[in-house]
Amino acid sequence: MKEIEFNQCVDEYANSVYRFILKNIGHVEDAQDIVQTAFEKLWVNRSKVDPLKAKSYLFTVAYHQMIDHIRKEKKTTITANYEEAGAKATYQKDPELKQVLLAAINELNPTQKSLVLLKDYEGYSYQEIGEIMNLSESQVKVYLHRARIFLKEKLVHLEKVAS
Amino acid sequence: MNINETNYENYFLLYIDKELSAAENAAVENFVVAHPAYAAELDQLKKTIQAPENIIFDNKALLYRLPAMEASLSPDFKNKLYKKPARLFKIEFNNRTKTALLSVAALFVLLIGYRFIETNSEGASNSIVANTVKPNAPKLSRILVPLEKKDLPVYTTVRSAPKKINYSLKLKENLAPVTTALASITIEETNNLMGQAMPITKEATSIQASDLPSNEIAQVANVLATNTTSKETSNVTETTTYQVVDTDEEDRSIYIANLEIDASALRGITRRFNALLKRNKTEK
Repeated sequence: MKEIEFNQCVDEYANSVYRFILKNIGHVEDAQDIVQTAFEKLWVNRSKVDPLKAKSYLFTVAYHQMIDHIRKEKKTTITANYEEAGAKATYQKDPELKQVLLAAINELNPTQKSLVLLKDYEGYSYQEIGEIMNLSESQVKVYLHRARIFLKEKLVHLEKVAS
Repeated sequence: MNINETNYENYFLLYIDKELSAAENAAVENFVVAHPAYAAELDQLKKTIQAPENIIFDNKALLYRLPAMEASLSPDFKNKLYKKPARLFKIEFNNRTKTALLSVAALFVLLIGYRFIETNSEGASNSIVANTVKPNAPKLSRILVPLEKKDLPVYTTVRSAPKKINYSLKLKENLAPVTTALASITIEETNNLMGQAMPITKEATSIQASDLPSNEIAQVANVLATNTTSKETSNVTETTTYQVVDTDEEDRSIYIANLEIDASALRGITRRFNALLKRNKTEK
């Protein structure tokens, strides 16, 4: 991979990687740092990385960086914020679906959240998600399905409250 | 493939995750048509799909690598950014100038060396003077040093007549600003038949101090007084004049090679430096 290809990767993938991380951790500066580290690693390993797999590589590196970051932060502040947001959204009388869904997603654990985001935002297959997150295909399937059912139940509960 | 009421959920989930083949997708859609009761559930699952948000990473400039960016710049603009090479002047010395310069340098080094040895030896002689006086001197931070060596009192001999001796007070750690001849203490020294040192009476103790810190004068006077009271019994008296002079005048100069610099100008710095050294020493 040459400089031009690398800069193309920046143009094409920086936004998606950033969105994925930001949606997961909810902190702008930290998300930017993680994206920067991911691209830094891509640059260092540019000779080994196939330009066609650069996107997966970036997501993989960013995901693992994020996991490290979450471990360091011990999730304390993040979970607190999310729970608060979720509670607020749930008790709104006529909330928008999107808001509720967002709040519900923030109640998922980091793995499930990443699974949903990689699937819905990036459209990755189970196999690709497994490669990025270092999980087996069946694990991806099971965890993602559990997350979906959880989200669905949240929505059903909301509809019942609304009606 | 057979979708039924027990396994439909799994197929629904795979369906919304787009993990099914075209045939399987069609089978799921047919199942929903055939069983409208499950249509709502599929709809609910579809609603869990996140609609991608448009989030932009603002700091892409941090991520780009320069060479490609540089390639995109116009040559004229790039030329403006280049640092222009500085004009170099080459000076060539012939052998004569080289020798002259070298000898000047050597002379300079020798001068510094000489000055260094000289100042060191001065310090050593000072300490010898202080040591010879020490046994007879009062035990204080101040050491009494006779102004002239010929006037050095010999305490082991018996004296018959009062004698005036000028003592200079050498300040060992003089950090306070002392300027002129500060105090003179006139003390009657009594002569002791036993040959003991410093039998003194207090009567004529006068202190003329202008700038000397009063506590320091008091300290000297006290020591002299205590020496006096213990030996008041003797008969023969001898008047000795103690004079506190600013013998630190020489210490106030700092020598760098042949340059003499008034230390008072640098007093603050030297004091702090001394304090630092002392602190380091005590810490060690």
